[in-house]
Amino acid sequence: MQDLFGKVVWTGIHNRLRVLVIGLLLPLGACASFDGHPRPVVEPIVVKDEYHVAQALTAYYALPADGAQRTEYRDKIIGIYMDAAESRYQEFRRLLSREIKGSNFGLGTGALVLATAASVAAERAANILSAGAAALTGAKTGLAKEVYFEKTLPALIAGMEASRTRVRTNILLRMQKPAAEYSLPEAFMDLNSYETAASLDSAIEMVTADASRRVAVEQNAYDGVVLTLSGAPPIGTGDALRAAGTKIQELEAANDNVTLGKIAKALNIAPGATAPDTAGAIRAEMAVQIQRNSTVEQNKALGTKILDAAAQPGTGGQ
Amino acid sequence: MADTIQGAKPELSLSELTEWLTTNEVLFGPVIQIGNNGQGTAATFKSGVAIPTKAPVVRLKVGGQAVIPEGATKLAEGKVFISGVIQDVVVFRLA
Repeated sequence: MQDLFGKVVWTGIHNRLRVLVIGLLLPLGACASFDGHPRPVVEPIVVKDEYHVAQALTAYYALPADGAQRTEYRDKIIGIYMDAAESRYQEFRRLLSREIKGSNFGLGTGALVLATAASVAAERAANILSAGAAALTGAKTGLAKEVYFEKTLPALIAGMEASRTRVRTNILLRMQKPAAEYSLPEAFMDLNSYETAASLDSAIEMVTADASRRVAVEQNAYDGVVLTLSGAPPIGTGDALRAAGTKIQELEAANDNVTLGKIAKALNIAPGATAPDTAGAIRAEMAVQIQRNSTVEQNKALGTKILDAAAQPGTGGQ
Repeated sequence: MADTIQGAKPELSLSELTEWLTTNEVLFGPVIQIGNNGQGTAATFKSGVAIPTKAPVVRLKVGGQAVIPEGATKLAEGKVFISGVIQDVVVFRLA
């Protein structure tokens, strides 16, 4: 701007022109997503103060180290941050699309207006106007280079989605571990990776490396995820156990660890300290028995045993 | 509550994979994502959501397209192992 206006004597028309050019250029600086990444989630509106990293870690370490409370608190924090990151990401995508379209339209129009004005203005003003038009055209070219991904935007978004899916999957897997094995500080590091996975910079690297191959593999694979692979249960098992599974879920939602304890006792497993713990243990045992059972009748019997235990009067297995 | 990721052996047929998904939904909640880790099929199940009353349906894509019945809800799509071969499938639930 100084090169353009620095040595000009500011008359009334110059001032008006200056306002016009500055006004046309201002939107460039206001574009929120030209940084190429979403806004951080740690802002008061997105994540409350009590869940900021320092406060959350303080609260986390104030909980007993040997109980399930740290795990529950960790999962809660992860949920809050992932939800906030998702919200930010969706906002980022929306702004990205809108700003690219808006800037192209605005800059193209601005250049046209200034070039037209130059043809009817006095010589000095015409030079300024032409320079302004050139600046806008140049700015648009520069912007086009900065956001050269416009035409490859869908592939870049796919790249970001792939990265986010991969990081999210790893977080979900690690959340299955207790806090002693996957602590909140580790979770924060993963959450940071989840946020930065939505970076256009990393997406550009990925896409330029081999867009179609990477996107296809990452989006359709649980890349690098280590899993215990189970076999197929006998046909009809799912329907045979639907009532039992629903019952367990209802008891867990009702925090009825007494009744869940009865089911655990019927399955010869130890109940947990909390309803979710016991429900998780029951599900794990059901999965083991389903793999062991070779007929749907055996799995029906398993379902019946669970429902009978839930209906049994008494004080439960605790 | 965390979502659950489970793995299935790659040799499962289409009907066996459907039964595997159905059974895991009964244990862990509705399926929300499917794919593979190179060794077997993987699926993510949404915890804390009511267990569906109807089983999911797995259908192979042909030419990248899959026909989903009117009114059905698409749950997930991805590349999974069917009888040892990676295939594009879509998972949906009938209304």
